[in-house]
Amino acid sequence: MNDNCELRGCGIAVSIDGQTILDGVDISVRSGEVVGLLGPNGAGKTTLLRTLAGVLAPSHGEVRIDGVDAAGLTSLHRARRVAYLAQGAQVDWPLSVASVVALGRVPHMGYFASPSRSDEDAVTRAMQRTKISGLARRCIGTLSGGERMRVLVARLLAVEAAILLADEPVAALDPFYQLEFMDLFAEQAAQGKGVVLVLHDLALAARYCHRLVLLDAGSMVAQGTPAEVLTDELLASVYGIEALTGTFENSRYVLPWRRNRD
Amino acid sequence: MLIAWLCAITVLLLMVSIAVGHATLSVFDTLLEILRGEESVSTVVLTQLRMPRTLLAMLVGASLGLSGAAMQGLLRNPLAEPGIIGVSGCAALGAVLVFYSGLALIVPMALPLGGIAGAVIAVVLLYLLAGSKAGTLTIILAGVAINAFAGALTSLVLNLSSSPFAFLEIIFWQMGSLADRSMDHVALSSPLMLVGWWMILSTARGLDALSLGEETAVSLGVNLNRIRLFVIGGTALAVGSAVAVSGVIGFVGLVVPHLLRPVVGYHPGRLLPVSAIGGAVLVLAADIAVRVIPTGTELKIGVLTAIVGAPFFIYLVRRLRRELT
Repeated sequence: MNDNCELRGCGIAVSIDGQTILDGVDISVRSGEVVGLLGPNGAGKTTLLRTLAGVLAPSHGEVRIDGVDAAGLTSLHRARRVAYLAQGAQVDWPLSVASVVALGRVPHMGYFASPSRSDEDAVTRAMQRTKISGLARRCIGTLSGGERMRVLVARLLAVEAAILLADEPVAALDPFYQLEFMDLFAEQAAQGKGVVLVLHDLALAARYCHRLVLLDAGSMVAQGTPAEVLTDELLASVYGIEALTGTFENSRYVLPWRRNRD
Repeated sequence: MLIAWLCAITVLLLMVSIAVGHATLSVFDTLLEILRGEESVSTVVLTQLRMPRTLLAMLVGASLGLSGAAMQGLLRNPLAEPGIIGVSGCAALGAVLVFYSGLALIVPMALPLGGIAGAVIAVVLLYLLAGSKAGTLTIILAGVAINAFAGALTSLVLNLSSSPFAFLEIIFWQMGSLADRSMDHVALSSPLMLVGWWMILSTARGLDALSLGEETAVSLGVNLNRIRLFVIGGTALAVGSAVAVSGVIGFVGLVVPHLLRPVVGYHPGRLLPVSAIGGAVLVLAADIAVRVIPTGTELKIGVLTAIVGAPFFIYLVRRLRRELT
């Protein structure tokens, strides 16, 4: 199931009501990679991720999945290749944990068909991976923030797509959960998935991502390895901050320290 | 299991509905007469009064329950009801206009046809007002506007109606009733309802996915525009033709999905078929009740569902408030 895959956005531009949100951004992710999407609030990270997920159609440019223009794919085909976890993902009804995870199988089922054996297996695997098998019958509304995120990530994994896109998956979680989910995404990449994460935490981005794409005001200002992107100059010009940087256990760390503008 | 129980109750109520009425008759004997090809007062009562009435109660109830469940799933709001998009208001207006023009006296079937035309116009208006890619709030607001306008026009027609007889007819019709309907009503409304049911039932999986929000549903391959079109179009066909033959029967589409939702684990998709049967049960029971409750003039079914439904709804709201706090 972990064949080689590639998701590529070429010259993605998005305007909404005449306002340019993204202006010709190129981004790509392939098997085995975790790509971090960084940038200040309002830089266009979420818009870019939504475009890659097919939730939003670009005004210009195209999204290519395994070299094929995604606009030509059926929505179900696309949904099986690319899974997307929206920011602050909502659940509207008090569904059980198992039901929420099972919704990840929607792209694999017809209009009326009931879940097949492989659907049930995928749900079980996803729940085991996120350690929520014991919560299967619990109502989603009764869970803590961290447990809830485990359920939503299990829903993402249950799609068993080659590409995983997640918008701020570790925001509002305690450090233990943050590391847990970053480890999980790293493991998914190691198993052959392509992962794109929108992140605000520069330290996690530096540690876990193979490549970073830095957006500012709708344009890409840098991309490359964490060492190439998280430089003092770029942090100052894009985020307006100074950061402590260094190396520990062969990993780079970045600690935002002070603002250098008001 | 639940569906089996609901079906059993439906069959039971169906038999009661056939047996109960002004004229006392032995259902068994009458059925034997029909089988022998004989015709008597009893067979006429059974085939031309009680059968259409019972069938319509089931069809109308199922339409209301199913559309209510679908509308609540689409708008992700447990307070939505099928009339929220303006189809019942416009269907009622269409029928009222037929009354007013006097067409109803010349061609009896003009009445339901007017109602169905009203429902279709409501959907066209909704799409013109809200656009084909409208969000939840836009749909609700457009529906409120259409409902308000349809209500105003209905009042205008009543205001201008010169004959007190027509005035009373319109008022009574609006209260909703299944009395004195014929097999023609069944034949006219049932094909449209069936198409509406099929449209709504086909959205089950999409409505499930919608519980994770519109973005996530789209990323799961759900065609949101199709889901909207099928829920709204299906509701227009099912509820529009229900209102056209029975008048306005409130609260069924609101209360039935609400009651049954916990039983199906809050799955918007699984709620659809269950709510259809639940709606049929409720309207059948209500229609039996109006025949049994000894009031001078027969109670209108819409009045009964509102009188029982409103306090029940208040109870549900209170329970919901307790669950949330």
